[in-house]
Amino acid sequence: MKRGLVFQIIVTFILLIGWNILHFGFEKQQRKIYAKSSQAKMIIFAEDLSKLKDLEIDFEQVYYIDNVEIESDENVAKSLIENYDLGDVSDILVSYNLPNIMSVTFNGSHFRTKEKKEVMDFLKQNYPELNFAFDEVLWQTSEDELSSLQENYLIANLVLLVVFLFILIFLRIHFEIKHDEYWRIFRSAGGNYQKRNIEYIKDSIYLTLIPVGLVMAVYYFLTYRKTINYHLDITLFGIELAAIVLVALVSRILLWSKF
Amino acid sequence: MLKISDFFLNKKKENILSIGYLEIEHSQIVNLIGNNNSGKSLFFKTIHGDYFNFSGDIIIKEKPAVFYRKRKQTALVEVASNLLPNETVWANILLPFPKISSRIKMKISELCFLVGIDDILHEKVRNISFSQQKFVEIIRSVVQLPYLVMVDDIDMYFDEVNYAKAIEVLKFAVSSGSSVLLSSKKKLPYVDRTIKIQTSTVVEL
Repeated sequence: MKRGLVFQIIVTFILLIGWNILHFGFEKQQRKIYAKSSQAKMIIFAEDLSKLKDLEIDFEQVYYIDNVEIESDENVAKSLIENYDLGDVSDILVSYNLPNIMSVTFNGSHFRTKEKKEVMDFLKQNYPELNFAFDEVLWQTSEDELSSLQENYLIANLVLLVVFLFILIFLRIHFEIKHDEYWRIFRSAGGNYQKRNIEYIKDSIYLTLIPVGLVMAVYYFLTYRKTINYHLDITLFGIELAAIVLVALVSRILLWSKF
Repeated sequence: MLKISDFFLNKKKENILSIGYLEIEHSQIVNLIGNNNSGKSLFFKTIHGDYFNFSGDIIIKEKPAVFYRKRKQTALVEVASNLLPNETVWANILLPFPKISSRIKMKISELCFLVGIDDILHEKVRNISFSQQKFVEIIRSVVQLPYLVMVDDIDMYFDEVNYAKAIEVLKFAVSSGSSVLLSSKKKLPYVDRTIKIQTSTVVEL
C-alpha cells in the first residue's frame, strides 16, 4: 500500500479517536446531569392512603418514573420521632393527624419539560385533592446545565467537523497533486485514462472503511472488555463515515481538472 | 491511416501551419522537416489529441482525432522526457500495460537488445543517458502497436548509428501496420516519404 495512503489512514484514525472522545465526554457529563436531575423528587401528601395507592398503580407504567415510595402517617410520625429525638413528646405527635406521603423519583434521562408538565397536569386533573411539592430549583438547574451542555456539544461537533474536513481534504489533495507527475507520464506513455479515477475510488474506499472500521472495532472491544461503559449511538459512526465520504467527494471536485 | 484536410493550426490567434490535404498510409515511415518554431511539435500534439487550437479535420483510422482523446491510439515521443526517473528502465517500459504477456516481454527484451540497453534494464532511469531514455520511450511506444507513432525532433538525440537502431525498432510497429511520423530539422534516411514545413504550409519533397 502506498505510504501516502497509510499516512492518511493513520491521521483519519487519530482524528476519529478524538471525535469519539468528544462523544464520550458528552455522555459522561450528560449522565452526571441526569443523576443530579434524578435527585429532584416529588413529594405528594394525602389524608387518604388509598388515593396514594391508586396513584402508585397509575405511576407503575410511566417510563420516566423510576421509583415510588409511600409512607403512611404512622411511619411519618415514627420517623419524625426517631430523626429528631422527640421521644418525650411522642404521645402528642402521634395524636396529630399527619398526612400520608408519597415520594416519587424520576428518571433523569427522560424527565424533561414535557414530561414534567404531563405529570403535573395529570395530578391536577385526576387527583385535585392531593397536595404536592417538587424540587423545582434543582430540576431547573439541571435542565439549564443540560441544554448548555447540548449546545456546547453541538458547537464542538461542528468545529471538529470543519477541522476534520479541512485536514483530510488538504491531505487528500496534497497526496494527489504529489502523484500528478506520475499520472502525466503514465498517460503520455499510453496508459489507460480511467486508471487514475479507478485508483482514486479504490483509495477512497480504503480511506473510508479502514479508519471507521478500526474505531468501531476498538469501541466494541473496549465495551466487551467493560473498559468503557458508555454507549455510543451507531449513527455517530454513520456520521463519521459520511464525513469521510464527503472528503472524497469534495477533494474529487477540487481536483476535477487533474483527472 | 491518417488523413488531414483543410487544416489550420493556430497559436494564440496566429495561424502557424496550414495543410490542404495530407494522407499517411499504413506501414509508412514519413519524415516531417521543419525549422525551429515551425510548429512541428504543436502539430504532433494536435494529432495526439493534446492541443485543440486548430480548425479542419484530422481523421485517424476513419475516426476524428477527438475520438481518441481519452483512449489513445497514437503514441508521441516528445523532446522532453516522459519517464519516471526513480523507476527502472523495465518498470518504465511496462508502465502503461495493465497486464503483460510473455510474448510482449520477449519482444521488449529483443528490442532492448537490438538498441543495446538490455544490460541496463534494472538501472534507474535517472542514471542512464538521454539517448538511452529516448530508446526506452520509443520501445514503450512501439510495443503497444498504436495506429501512429510520432517521434519529435529525432535527430536531436540520436547520432547516425543510434538513429538506424531507432528505425529498426520503429519497423517492428511498421510491420504490424502502424504508421510512423518523424520530425527533424534535416532530411532523414531510411524513410518512405519526406514532407516539409515551408512558409507555414506542408509540402511534399
